[in-house]
Amino acid sequence: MVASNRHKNVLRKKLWRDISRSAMQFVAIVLLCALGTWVYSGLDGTWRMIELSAETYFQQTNLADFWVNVVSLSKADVDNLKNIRGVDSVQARYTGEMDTPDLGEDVSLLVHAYQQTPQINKPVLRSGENLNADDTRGCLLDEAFAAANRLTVGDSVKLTLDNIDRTFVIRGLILSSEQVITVKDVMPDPAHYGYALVNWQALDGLPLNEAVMTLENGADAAAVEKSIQNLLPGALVLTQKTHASTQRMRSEVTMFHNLTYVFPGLAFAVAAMIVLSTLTRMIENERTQIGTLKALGYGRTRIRNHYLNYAFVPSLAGALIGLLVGRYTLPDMLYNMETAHYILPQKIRPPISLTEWGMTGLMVLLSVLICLYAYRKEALEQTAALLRPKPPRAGSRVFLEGWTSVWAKLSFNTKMIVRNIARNKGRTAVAMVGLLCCNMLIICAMGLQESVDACVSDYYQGTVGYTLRADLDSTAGTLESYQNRLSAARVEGIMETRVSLRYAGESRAVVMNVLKENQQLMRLGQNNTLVPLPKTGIAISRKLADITGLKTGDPVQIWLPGDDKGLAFTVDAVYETNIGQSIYMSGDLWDQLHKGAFQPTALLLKDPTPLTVHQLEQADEVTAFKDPKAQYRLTMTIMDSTTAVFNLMYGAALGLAFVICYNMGLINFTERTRDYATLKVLGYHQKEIRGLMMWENNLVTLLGTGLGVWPGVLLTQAVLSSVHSENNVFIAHVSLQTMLVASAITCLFSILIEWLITRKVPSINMVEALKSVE
Amino acid sequence: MSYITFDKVCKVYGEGESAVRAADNVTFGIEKGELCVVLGPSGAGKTTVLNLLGGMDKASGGVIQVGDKTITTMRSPQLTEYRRLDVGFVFQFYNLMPSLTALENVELARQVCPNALDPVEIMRQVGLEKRMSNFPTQLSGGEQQRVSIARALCKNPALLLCDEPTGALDSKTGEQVLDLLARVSKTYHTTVVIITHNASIAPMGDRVIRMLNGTIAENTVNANPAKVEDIAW
Repeated sequence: MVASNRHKNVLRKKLWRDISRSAMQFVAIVLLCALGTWVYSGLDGTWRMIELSAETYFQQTNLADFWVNVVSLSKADVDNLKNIRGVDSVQARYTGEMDTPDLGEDVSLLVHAYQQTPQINKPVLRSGENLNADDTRGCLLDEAFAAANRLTVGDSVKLTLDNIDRTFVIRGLILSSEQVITVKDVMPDPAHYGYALVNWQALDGLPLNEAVMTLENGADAAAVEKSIQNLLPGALVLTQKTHASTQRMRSEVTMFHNLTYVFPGLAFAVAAMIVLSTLTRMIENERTQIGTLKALGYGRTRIRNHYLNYAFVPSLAGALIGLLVGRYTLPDMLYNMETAHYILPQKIRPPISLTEWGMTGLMVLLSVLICLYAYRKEALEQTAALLRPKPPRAGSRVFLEGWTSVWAKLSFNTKMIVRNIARNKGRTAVAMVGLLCCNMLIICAMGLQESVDACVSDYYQGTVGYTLRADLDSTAGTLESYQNRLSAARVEGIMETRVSLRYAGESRAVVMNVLKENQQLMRLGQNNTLVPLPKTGIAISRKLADITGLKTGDPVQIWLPGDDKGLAFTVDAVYETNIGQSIYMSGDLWDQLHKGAFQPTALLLKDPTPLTVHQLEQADEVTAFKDPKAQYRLTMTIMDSTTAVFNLMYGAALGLAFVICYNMGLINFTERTRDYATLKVLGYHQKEIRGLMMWENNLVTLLGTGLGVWPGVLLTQAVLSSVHSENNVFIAHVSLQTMLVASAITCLFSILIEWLITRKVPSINMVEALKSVE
Repeated sequence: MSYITFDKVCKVYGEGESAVRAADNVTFGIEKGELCVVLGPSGAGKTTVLNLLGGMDKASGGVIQVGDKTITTMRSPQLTEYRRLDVGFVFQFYNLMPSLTALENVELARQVCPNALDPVEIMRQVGLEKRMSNFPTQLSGGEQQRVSIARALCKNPALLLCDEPTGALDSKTGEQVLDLLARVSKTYHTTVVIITHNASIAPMGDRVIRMLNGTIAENTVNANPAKVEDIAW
């Protein structure tokens, strides 16, 4: 027993000494295992943190399950809604936008006015005090809006609707779970748009036009929605799936969740591959020692377990480091970026998930299995054979030599390099795959940015043909009156109405755009061409078609606000626009519906004269101006958190490339020290040997980098299809320039690392290196 | 003055109490065109002397002169030039490039040497004209050693240094290799230094230097060197 323990201790000592002797290789295994679990636990932790924080917020504030918008809601309507089976509670309120002229022309607030104290969508008070039920002078204001407009508790804010001014004192600053993201157009702009809460009694005469409802646990949401539509046929019903803020918040969670399927798989595969090649070399180098231990009478199991520790110890350390570092870096970083747009009251860190533990275990298991494979390859040989050093791997002719004319033209050094590459196929393959992955990730990171940019700019600089958009309120005149009055290359109008689209038993709240037949400023066809609007049916945007599954020829119903009967149409066209879930209808068709005259909600102007811009600035009915270029920039800034993931990919790709290239370079250098020493003895200058090393590396780099281009494009497509954006259609767009720049980065990085390794050439001791075969 | 002179050459490995004097005040001379056998048991300092002579290692003290060149004062790039132009090496374990054929291994030397001989002709001279396109692993030990000699000869060196060239070979193959080295010395008037622990080789040398414990025990000129085939192994 004592002897056995001593054996164990000796082997343990050997293990730790081996680790310290081959520190670089063990560090590489630790780093690669850490990288594998870091990416997974980081992204997994991110979506879980955002989801837990958001869902807890939704639960604590009793977020509505339905938002039912009508023209006016009677007490009977509210009672009937309450009586629907499965409904837990209903609250009626007024919801509408009001201008705040004291804060600027383009500044407005979305006002919610509850009949009673809000029990659904309860506001979270951040400072000040809550609103009393009988307080008709006070309001609760969006904290971000208040900060952006330098308002605080005790200040007053004037709200204007239909030329009626109402002034309220800010009682408290709040957050609202139904406004996790407060967006009027494209992205949050708290300086110009926010929300406020007042008592309905303070709005003398304004109707209750919205019911917010929650469901009982386990209620059939679809059945409830149908009942609501039966009760209030003209109502615009939003669920948590179609309510913009909630839906956008959840789609962010989905995006990060989907990313955990793409990148960790890649990181795992690369880590496993490098661990395989590193451990194989290490075990191969231990060949004679395995033989010695066998000759000394050590049992197979004991020797095997000793060598399995070569993988177990560093992979366990690496995987745990990756798990913990991933949990405490990535989620916090990405959460903070997310919450620049999505406002959540508190960050809640979820416990380490089972899948994270599972992936950590898998990483260790994978490494140990790889080690077992490498060990078995050596240990199955006879003891006597193991005691002899392994004969050098044989050289052989390469495929290229078949093409005599090509082969003959190659220089001697090139031939030697080509043969070396062929001789060390495994190592070369690993290095090439490493570079392939690196280039693939960089192309993907750059390609994603380019694709997002291309899709957004395609809309704002291609589909959109106007140079200025002026939003109009309900007091706007006819389009003709503006066309007669304003001077611009072109003046057109668009009438936007929020409608309920019903199809195949489903319903969805979407924006319907009515455009005149002769319009030229919305190029809705393929490649931004002008297409005629359907004469009898409607057209839908690509994203709406993707989400709803609707296609040309499908029947749909459109329910206009306040109507108690839907209008039947067929989908006549799907427009290839990149942004928006929209319905398009021609002005003529609108006129035929007899639902009122075409009244523009916005003017679209191409190259307006300064005088026209001035006239519009002075016009009371103009509520806001939008410049497509500015909108493009704003849209791109909301992609910041996504961009952060892309930047992370750059970092990961370069980190990966460094570990792989340096590790493989070191292995290569160590194994070929004898060759380099021979060259030195033959009189090759260090510069010449370094040149040979660089040339060989460059060839592998070029091949690996080149092979990574197409997978990079495919990965970009895969990631884009997993990033579900509710509003945008992203198509992979990777330009030749991106491919070249990414490849250049990969090549330069690889060359730099190889250059670092070639600096070891002067340290080759010819005498030591050539002493004996061992 | 001899073509090669070692004057009180020392090589010390390590420092202080653990210092090992691998070469201790080594002094000898070898004439141009001689085939010199350096003999001694393991640890005698033979390889150290060869490494110092070949510019693969630096002496701790003393002066080494080869022709008009003082090796001991040369810096690294000059030593590389010296190895490139003046010295050919033959090792016990051949040190051939496994990914190059026999002929290409010889051509490897020509890549860096402006006065190199025709590799095909050299291969013919070492009797490997039919094995030129074989890779080292397809050759026997003797053939590999002959490729190694051909590679050294291709550079047309003034000095051919051989470290235990027959150490890994059987007696018959060893005899062929030694015969080749003797012919080289005679044909090209190349100074050949053979390091060996095998005393039976000594009779073939024009000069025999015996080493013991890092010092020269004996330096004798052999007026009648024996033919290789007459050597008893």
